[in-house]
Amino acid sequence: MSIEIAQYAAAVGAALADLPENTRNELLEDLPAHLAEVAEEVEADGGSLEDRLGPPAAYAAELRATLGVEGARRGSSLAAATAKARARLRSFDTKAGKPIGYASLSEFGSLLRPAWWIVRGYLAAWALAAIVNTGDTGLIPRLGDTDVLGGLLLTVAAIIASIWLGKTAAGRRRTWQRVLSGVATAGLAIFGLAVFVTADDELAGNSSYMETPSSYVDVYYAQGHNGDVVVVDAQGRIIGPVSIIDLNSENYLNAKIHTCDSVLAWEYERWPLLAQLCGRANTGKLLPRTEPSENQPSPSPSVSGPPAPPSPAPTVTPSR
Amino acid sequence: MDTTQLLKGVLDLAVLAVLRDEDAYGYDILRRLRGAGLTEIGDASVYGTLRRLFAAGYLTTYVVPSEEGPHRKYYSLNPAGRTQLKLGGEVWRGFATTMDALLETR
Repeated sequence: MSIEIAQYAAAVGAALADLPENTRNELLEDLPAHLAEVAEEVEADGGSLEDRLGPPAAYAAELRATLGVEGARRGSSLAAATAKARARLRSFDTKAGKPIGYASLSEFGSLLRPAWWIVRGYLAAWALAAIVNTGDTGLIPRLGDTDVLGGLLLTVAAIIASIWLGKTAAGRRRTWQRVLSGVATAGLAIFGLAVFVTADDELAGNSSYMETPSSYVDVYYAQGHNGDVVVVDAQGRIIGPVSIIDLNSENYLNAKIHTCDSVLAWEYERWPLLAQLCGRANTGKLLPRTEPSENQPSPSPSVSGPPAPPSPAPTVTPSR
Repeated sequence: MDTTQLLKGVLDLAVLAVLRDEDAYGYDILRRLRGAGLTEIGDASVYGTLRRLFAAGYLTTYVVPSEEGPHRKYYSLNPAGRTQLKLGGEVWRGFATTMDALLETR
């Protein structure tokens, strides 16, 4: 019987030889299995495949007819297009998985899912802190004026909530839930990328907050003929060319020396203290050290004044 | 009246219905359809229908190895398929009711 099956199958295949290879293979895919089943039945009755199925050419015509039918009766072109897209995505999925040693990319992805829950917990906490603080927040999400511990607790709480959410939602995946969670995930991912880029920027020292000095000294600035900064005391005696060194980083700083006649309006706004200072510039008093503000990680230049005694000599570290 | 035209219209629905309670492979589905009374169905057309339904995302397939013959590819209704069966059934019933009424008055 198997010879007959092979012959019948070959004949059907030959009758479809004019079709493109993919189509032809599709049509012939189920034929061997079908012929095997028919053969079982036919053998019992003592007939032949042809008796039951008709000549191979006729069967081939039937197969060909299903093609035309398929073309005409596609339920909706949208359904067909999505099915095709889904199939292509599936094949990409498997192909992409191979280089990283997994059966498919989505298998690797589902292994990563708990890690994503942790990341999104942190991102959610960060987003909350950013909203509450209207924009200014460091890497540790802090609400208002809470300290590092408070921020860490918030992060941990958010992470736990995210993990719980991930675990309990695993079962209930109706369409609208999946769409919603997909959109939220994409949003958080974009947000996370923005956080990452911003943090990188600040870490790399490109932030404009760097130049905020944390304390002011009344310095009378006179331009040296070679462009160096000259510092003079209240009596007008030149102290000497100075370099300003940040004792924390031991870097020489390009410090901006604010002189009260050159302060711009936005600078008064940005640093209210500067307004205060320029209001008191005439007293000649040295001003107390101010605390660095929490949201602006800035190296403090080593220019600092002692808290109380007025002295005519500014305490700038001179360099020789 | 030539039933093949009518059949072409409902073959998809018939195949979905046959798979509702139990998965089946191609030949089995053909047998069930014929057993249910749809004797005019051509052998080849069932496979075309199965391919179409699979492409539309209503069926999942799995292969069951067998000792005595070629492995069998089983078809199963997935949730989308069940929904489609339900909707198709409603459409059919509505259509049949309309036709019945039309024929009555003649």
